Amino acid sequence: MSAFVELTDVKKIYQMGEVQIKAANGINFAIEKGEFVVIVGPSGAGKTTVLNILGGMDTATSGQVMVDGVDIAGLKGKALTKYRREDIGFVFQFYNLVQNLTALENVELSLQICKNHLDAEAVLTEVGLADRKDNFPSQLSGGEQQRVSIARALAKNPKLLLCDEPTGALDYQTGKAVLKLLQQTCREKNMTVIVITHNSALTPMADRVIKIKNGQVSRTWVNEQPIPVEEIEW
Amino acid sequence: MLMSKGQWKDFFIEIKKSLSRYVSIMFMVALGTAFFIGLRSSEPDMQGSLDTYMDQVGYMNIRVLGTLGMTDADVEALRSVEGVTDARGMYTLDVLSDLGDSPKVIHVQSIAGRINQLQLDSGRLPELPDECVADRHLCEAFGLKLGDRITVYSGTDDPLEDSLAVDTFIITGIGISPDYLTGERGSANIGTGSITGFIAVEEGAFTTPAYTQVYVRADWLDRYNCFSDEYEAGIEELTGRIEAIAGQQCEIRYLDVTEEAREQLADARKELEDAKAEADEEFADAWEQILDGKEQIQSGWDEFNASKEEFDQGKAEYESGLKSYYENLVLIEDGERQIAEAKALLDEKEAELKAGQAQLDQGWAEYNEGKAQLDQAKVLMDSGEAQLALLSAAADAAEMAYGGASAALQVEKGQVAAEQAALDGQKAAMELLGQSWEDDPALVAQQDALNVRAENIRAREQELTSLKKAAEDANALYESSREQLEDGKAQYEAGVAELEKGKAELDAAQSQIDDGARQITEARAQLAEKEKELAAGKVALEDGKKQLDEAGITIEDGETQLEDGRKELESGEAELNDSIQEYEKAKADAMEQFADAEEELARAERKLAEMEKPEWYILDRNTIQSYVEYDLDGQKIGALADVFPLLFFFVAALVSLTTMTRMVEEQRTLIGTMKALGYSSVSIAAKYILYALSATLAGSLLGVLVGSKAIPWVVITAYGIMYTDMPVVITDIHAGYSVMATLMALGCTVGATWMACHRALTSQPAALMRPVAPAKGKRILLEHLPFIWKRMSFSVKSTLRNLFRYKKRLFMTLFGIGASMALLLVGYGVQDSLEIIVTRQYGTLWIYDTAVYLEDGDDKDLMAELDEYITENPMLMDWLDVNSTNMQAENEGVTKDITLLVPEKAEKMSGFVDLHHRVTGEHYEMDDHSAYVSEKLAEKLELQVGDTMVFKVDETQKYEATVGAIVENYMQYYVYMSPEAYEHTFDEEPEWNQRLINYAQGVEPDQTREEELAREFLELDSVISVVSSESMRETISTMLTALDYVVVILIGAAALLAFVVLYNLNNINITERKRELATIKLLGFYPGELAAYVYRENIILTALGIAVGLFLGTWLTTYVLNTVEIDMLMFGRGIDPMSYVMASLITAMFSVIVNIVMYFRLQKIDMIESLKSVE
Repeated sequence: MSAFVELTDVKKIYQMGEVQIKAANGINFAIEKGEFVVIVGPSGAGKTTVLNILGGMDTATSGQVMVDGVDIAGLKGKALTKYRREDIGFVFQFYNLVQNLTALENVELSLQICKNHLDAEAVLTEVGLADRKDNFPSQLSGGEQQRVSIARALAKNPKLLLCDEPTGALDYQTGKAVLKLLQQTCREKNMTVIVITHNSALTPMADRVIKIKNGQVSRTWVNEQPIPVEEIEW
Repeated sequence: MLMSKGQWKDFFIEIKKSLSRYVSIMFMVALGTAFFIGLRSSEPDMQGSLDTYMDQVGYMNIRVLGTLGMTDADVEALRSVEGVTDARGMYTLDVLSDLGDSPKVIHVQSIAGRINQLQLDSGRLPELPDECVADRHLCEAFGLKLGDRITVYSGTDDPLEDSLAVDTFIITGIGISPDYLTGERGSANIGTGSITGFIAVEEGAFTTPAYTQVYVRADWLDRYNCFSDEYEAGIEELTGRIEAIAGQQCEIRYLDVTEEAREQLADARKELEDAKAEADEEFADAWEQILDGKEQIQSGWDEFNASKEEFDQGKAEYESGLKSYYENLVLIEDGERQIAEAKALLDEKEAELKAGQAQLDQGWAEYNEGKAQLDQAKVLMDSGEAQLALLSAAADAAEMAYGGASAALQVEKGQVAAEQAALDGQKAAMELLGQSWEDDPALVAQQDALNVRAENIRAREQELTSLKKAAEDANALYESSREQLEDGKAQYEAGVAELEKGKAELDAAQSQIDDGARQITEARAQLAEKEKELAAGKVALEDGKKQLDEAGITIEDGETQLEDGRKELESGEAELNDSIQEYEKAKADAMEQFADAEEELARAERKLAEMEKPEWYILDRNTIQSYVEYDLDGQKIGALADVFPLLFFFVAALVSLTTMTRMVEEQRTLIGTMKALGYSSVSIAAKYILYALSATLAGSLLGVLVGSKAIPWVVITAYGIMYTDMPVVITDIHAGYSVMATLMALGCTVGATWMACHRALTSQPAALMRPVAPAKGKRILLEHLPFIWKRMSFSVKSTLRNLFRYKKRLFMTLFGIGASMALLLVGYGVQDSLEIIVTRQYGTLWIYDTAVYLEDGDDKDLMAELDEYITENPMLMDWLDVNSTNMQAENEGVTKDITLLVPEKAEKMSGFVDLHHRVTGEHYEMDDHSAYVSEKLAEKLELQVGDTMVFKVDETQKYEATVGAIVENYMQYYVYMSPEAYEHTFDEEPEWNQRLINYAQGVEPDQTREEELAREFLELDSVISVVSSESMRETISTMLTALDYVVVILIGAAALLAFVVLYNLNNINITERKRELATIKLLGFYPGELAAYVYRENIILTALGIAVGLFLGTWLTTYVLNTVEIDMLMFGRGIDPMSYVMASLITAMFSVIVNIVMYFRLQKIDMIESLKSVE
């Protein structure tokens, strides 16, 4: 049986005048369903390119990207958008909430375009924000906003939860709490979670770690015994 | 130095980066200044264009008209007035010419040298009297070319030769005259009533003794714009100088004219006296002849009377002779008649005698016959007696026979009865024995024998009966015969007696007859004697008669002769009478003629004596209609500048405010850094102020150029449709307006920018450098209504919250779109209001089709002729005579020139002019005391129903009437009254001076037919002029089409406004919310959903903006109409619902177009943007 997510020789080449910039230069890895994956690497290594391609925001120049049996590298336009709205949940570094909508409404905003979604209030309760659901983003702290963001992604019941530096804008304790939430979600819901970060300290908590360097996967390994995030220090 | 080198560089990069923002400020400013300057300068530009044209053609500054015409001497005098460069006399005359299908009115004018120069399209000015320059419009309309000829003829009773030396002109040039700025050529009192075109000819073509007017030209006035006060002052000065010489010149002219007239009068008088003397002589001769004739006839009569007397005497004698003859004749005839009567009597008697003899003879014959009969009867009587004896014997014998037979039978009967009885006894015995007697043959035989015998008896009884009868018959016969005989005997005896008596009578008669016969014979002899005597008398009488007859013939001859003589005399007399009559008549005629001539002379003398000294009318250009109209039209456009540009400036200020606020917000960090680096607030603000300032200046420059050049050009060109003969278009840059507009624009944009910078600059640098706190989401009022709020989708919720989050933007958009919508509404509204004038005034108010002005409504003959013409023309159906009088109406110090219209029959009014209220539509019938006032007049004079209004005929004559109703009307000021109300008010009867006419049902004549009709009307003596409603309507419609261009300009401006505002709004929205939009896109919104997310705001704002525009536009339309409205005209009130719809649709369309453009920008948003950190 093939992997839930599998990238085969994915390349992304930007043509800048005469110069070719190879943001991804033959990336290969596979992820099993329900795994908590951390993709780690220094700035400019190609993490974001991987994220963009996996998230359906960008297309690969060549290679194959299989997600749950579908090659999304071959999708274009509307099909790609459909993939984004139904199969992917995003968690952003800067939360990207709509300022004009309350926490609950922000969750519901993404649900209204999704078929197979969960109940917004229930999800908000799960992330511990039942009391703050009627607050606007500006009335919430960073961690709370990120939880809303996670709730927004989870409520869609996606196949894949993509998190781009989810703790990047948060302080240490809050960051830990958010990561804990993500890990819990993965465990409890058997959700495939991919966290992209430059922080190598987070690798022990992952089921699988993929290290990227210079547009290629430099190393991947599986932690047989992932450590709960509370125990990690950085 | 205000800004460092780096700052300058930053400034330029900033502009480059935010070019669309920069350009929108520029455009808004350009729009505002362009409109302000454009509308403001249209007025001076139009005036300037006209002034330039006037200077170019050397248009007269003043024209002088004299009531007795102008002479060369006058021209000379005017020329020598100080300040006058030149003066030229000129002639004008309206004539007819057959062009096209019908006679057209041509205005012939002489060329006044260098004054009022014609503008030639082609050819040259005339050099000979039979050459002309023809009107461009005339040539275009009738296809005339250079070298063609125009033949004209007089339109009045005066022959053409009195005014023009030639009647055919060769076209040597084609062009226009500065006298006319429009295609209208004015009205005339001949032909169709309106001038079709002019031709300009050499002065020598005219034979009229005096000039119509003199053009005065003062070149030094060209220095001034002819609408300026300096020019007016110059004209006033010049007019004063001309007035100074006017008195003297008029005196000279007066003397000239009166002298000439006096001479003419003296000649005429002498001529009359001569004629009178001659006539007197002729009449005296004639009278003498008549007197001679009279004498002759008198002597003839004397002779005749003498002869007549003689004749009468002879005739009397003859007649008495004749009379005695007739008397004797009567006597003789009487005798003759007596004799005849006697003879007749004798004859009658004789006849009677003869008849008596005949009767007598017959009596004898009858007697003899009776005697014979009696004898015969005696014989018969004797034989009858014998027969009777025989009959008696026979009867006795029959009696006896019967008796015997009867006895024998009785015996037999007894025997038989006895034998039968015996037999019956035997029979009975046998019966007892039980035996049947039939078995005994004896008995049977016995019985049979008995039966035979009985039978026999019965037969004999019958015989006996017949015997008895025979005996009785015989006896009866005997008796009757005997009676007959007895009768015959008695008759016979009576007959014998009678016969005897008859015989005696006969004898007596015979003797009488014989006696008579003798007497008659004697009478006859006497008669014969008498007859002889009479015959002798008669012969003597006849002789006398013969003599008388001869005398009779002589008398008749004499009579005939006498009659002839009388006839001759009488005819002579009649002849004489005729001549006398003739003489009298001739004399009377002559006298009358003399009297007429005398009267005419007297009138001429009186006229001469009464002739007022001539007067000069010194008129300036303000009496040239199209010149004044052109100026007024310019002023109206100028007035519009008061409101339109304000709209644009206001929007420009709003746009600046929002964009600059946004810009300052975006650059908070930069401002903070600069501040931290130690730059002064002014230096930092300079960038933004300069940004707005430079955009504004650039916009102003563009606006000044477009506004000063393009808009006046469009306006003047648009008016050029009406002012076809105004070839000069000058568009100047008016520094004053340009500076004013630029300053206004700067005030708006720089002010707004300063407001935007102010807060940021007063903040601490640290605060500025912290990332911007995103504008907070806020609950809005609607959320407190959960039943509505909960039903909305999140995008709608977000949209609504967004709208209220950025109030400046909301305001800018609402106002911008509202203004755009308002402009469109103004465009359509103005069109509507103007169209209504035509459609309502000529469609539903003035229903009549044509109006003719009457020569004299009281002249029955003239009116009968007109009635007949209308009745016989199948095109025309009905008419209504009206009195149309111009006077003034006054109320509370306001005075207006009005037309008072009084129909002859108030009840017919509604078929020609409909009086009703504009709003309620209530129809009014005129009562006998009220005045019906047109709406705008009521408005101007502040009159209400029931108020008293004052009519002013002149300062001393004022009349009052009550306002009965206020009626819809768009053109001029009208007051309507019934004839009763007119009499009631003015205490006099109205005179009918106009006739309104309706065409027959379904008749819609074309222009040609209407012109023909007008010509036919004007041929009637009763008609002065004709005005067709349809032609008026068309004239006004054509004038109004010029306004379509204004609408086009307004639509263009509205579009620009809408684009700038909406583009700006979207631009800010997208740049500011890029992150949000990128996130949403990333979340998997389809492009359509993403666009809808943004568009919802635009749609709501556009809809709200349209709503704002409805109110703003309605107000603005009213303002514009009130500003532009002409005194005598009422524009339609209110905008057509379709116009609201159109304006809304067009505004919505602008919004759609901007949104379509925005769609592509939305598609370009990069999702990766959402992953970046906040700057």
